[in-house]
This record gives sequence, C-alpha cells and structure tokens, in this order.
Amino acid sequence: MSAGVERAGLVLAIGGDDAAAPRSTLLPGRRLFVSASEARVIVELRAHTMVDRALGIGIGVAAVTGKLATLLDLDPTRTGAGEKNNRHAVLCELDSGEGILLVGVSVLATGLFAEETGPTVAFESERLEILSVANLYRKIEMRIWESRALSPHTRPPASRRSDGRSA
Amino acid sequence: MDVLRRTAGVPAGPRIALEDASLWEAREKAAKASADSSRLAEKVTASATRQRAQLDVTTERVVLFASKAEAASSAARRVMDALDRLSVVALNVGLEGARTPEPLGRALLLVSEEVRANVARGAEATRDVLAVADGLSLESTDLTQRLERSRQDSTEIGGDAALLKTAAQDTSLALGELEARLRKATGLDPELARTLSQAGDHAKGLIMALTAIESHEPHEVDRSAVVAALGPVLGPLMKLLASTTDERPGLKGGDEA
Repeated sequence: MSAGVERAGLVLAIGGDDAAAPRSTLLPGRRLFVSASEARVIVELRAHTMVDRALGIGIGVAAVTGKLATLLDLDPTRTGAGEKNNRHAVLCELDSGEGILLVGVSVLATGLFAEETGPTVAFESERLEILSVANLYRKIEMRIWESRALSPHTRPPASRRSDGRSA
Repeated sequence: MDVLRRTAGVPAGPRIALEDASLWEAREKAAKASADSSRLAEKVTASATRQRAQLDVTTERVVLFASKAEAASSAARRVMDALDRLSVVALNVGLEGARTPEPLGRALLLVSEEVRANVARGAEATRDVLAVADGLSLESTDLTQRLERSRQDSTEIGGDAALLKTAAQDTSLALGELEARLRKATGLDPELARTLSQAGDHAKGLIMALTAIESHEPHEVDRSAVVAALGPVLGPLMKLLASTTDERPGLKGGDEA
C-alpha cells in the first residue's frame, strides 16, 4: 500500500486497553484494526447466550437491534461481557449479510487511519494488524465442523457399519 | 467496756467524751461526703442524658449526611453511565464519518473527536466526584458506628450514675440510723459533739505549743515574759476550766477509761 492512503474503521483492544495479551492464536495482536466495510455500529451488549468455544474464542448468539447475530467473544477468560474494560460490542456485517457481534473488546478509536505496508494501520505510533472478521468467522466455523467430525458422538451406530460386523 | 458503762448510765471520762466527739465528727464528714456524692451523681445523670440527646441529634445529622453522600455517589454513577453512552455515540459518529465521503465525513469525524475529548474530561471529573462521594459515604458509616458506641457508653455512664445516686442515698439512710444510735450510745447531740471535738483539737494544739516552749533551755526563754504574754488568754481559760471541773466532778480525776 502506498503512503498517504487512509482506511476507515475502528481500533479494538482485546479484553480492554490494559488487559494481558490475547490467548487466541487467531488474533494477531492485543490491539487490532477492523475495517468500516465490516464494522457497522458499536452497541451495548444485552441479551446473549454463549454456546461453545473454539481456538480460544467464545461463540454464542445475541439479539442486536431486533436481529440475531453470531457472537464472538475475543476475551472469553474474563468473568462476564460488558465489564469495565470490555464494555463495547461491535456489530459487524459480512458480505453474506450475516451479523457478527464482537465482544470482549474495548473500542479505542474510530475514524480514518493511515494505512501502511503489511497491511497495517498506524495508531498511536503503533502498527496495528487488520482483523478480517469474515476470515476469523470462517476459521472458527471450520474448527467447529472439524471437531464435530472427530467427535465419537457423530460416528454411526455399530449396527449400521458398512462392513456388517458388530463393534 | 465503755459502751457498757454508758449504756448503764455511768458517766464517761473526758477521753471517752473526746473520742465520742471524734466519732460524731467522722459521721458528719461521712454524711457530707454522702450528700455530695448524691448531688454529683445526679449531675452526672443529667449530663449523661443531655449528652445522649446531643449524640442522637448528631447521629441523625450524620445519617442524613450519609444519605446525601450516597445520593451524590448515585448521581455521579448515572453521569458516568450517560458519558459512557455518549462515548459510544461519538465512536459511532466517528465510524460513520469514516465511511461517509468528503466533506461531510471529515466534519463528522471532527465532531466525534471533539465529543470524545469532552466525554473523557467529563468522565475523569466524574470519577473524582465519585471517589469523593464514596469516601464520604464510608467516613459517615464509620462515624455513625463511633457515635453509636459513644451513645452506648453514655447510656452506661447514666445508668452507673443512677446506681451511684441510689448507693449515696442508702449511705445517707444508714448514716441517719448511725446518728440515732450514736446519740443513744454517747448521750451527745451532734452540735455539742462538734464543739467538743473542736475544743479538744484546740486544747491539743495549746498543749503542743506549751510543750514546745517548755522544751527550750531556761536561758533561751524568758518564762516570766511568756507568762505575761499568755496570761490575758490563759487566765480566763483557767477560770472557765475550773468552773467546768466544779460542775463535772468526773473531769477532776483525768482519764478514767
């Protein structure tokens, strides 16, 4: 990317601005940039249900502005969403129209940020990795399906095995 | 033995009479001390009652103060919540401004930054207010507990003072009984006993002074000058003693105890 180009979006701090480094390997840093093409609005987290966890990220369902959205908790180690340092929830929208709600984060800034090589953006003399919410969601979804495929509960019953032998 | 003699109507000797007078004097002192104790106990009771009333008023004021501190704390929390929401609004304005093309987008970004900066200042000030209000609330809670302990102490003091007053009154009653028995046993009335005791003390003093004069060497003291000096005082005293001795033959023989 050439110098002087600005990208619209917001800067997130995982688990708040003063939290420890993120646990999930899918998150490239403690501070991340999310493009305005994905991030739609910052909301207050209200009704939500956690259902699973994969790759160090909590997964759940939340009702936001009258619609259901997939909830991704980027800091599932904390005791509860909406705490002092995790008070924001960012509603993102994928190209498919699916809503993804990022929680366990604190929004540090919104606006236009200078884009640098990497690609990264500059924020407070720091170069922040750009988080693709669509990629993150895809990886988590794949991990969930992989784990279900490996689970003994998903194997067919012994009487239906193709070789005709009992288990 | 002396009591038996007095009870039998036999007149007591002079030393016995002086000892009786001392008894009476001691009783008078005890009666006065008992009356003083009773009066002071009453004053302490009244003071403790007034102190309790003052403590009650102070406690009410502190509770009122605590509720106001709590209200200030609650208001500060509401302001904090409103500022948090305003901050989210400003962030959303910034996000929208970043998405919106020039020149409107830039204006939105400027508004967002300005609002966020003011929200940050307001939040800092509100946090200070909240800390002060919470501190006041804690202090007033501690103060209320201390006042309650003081009130309990004051109640105990009042109760003890009331008991002290009762004890002093019992002592007065017992001293009244003692007076009646002393009157019967010694045959003296309190006024005469007091006078007799005073006379005995003065006589002892006189004897000690004369003994001191007598202890000096003859060449040191001009005895005729001493007699000349004391004559005008001792003359009437000797006559008075002589007439008293004539009226009370028991005194002639000295100590008969």
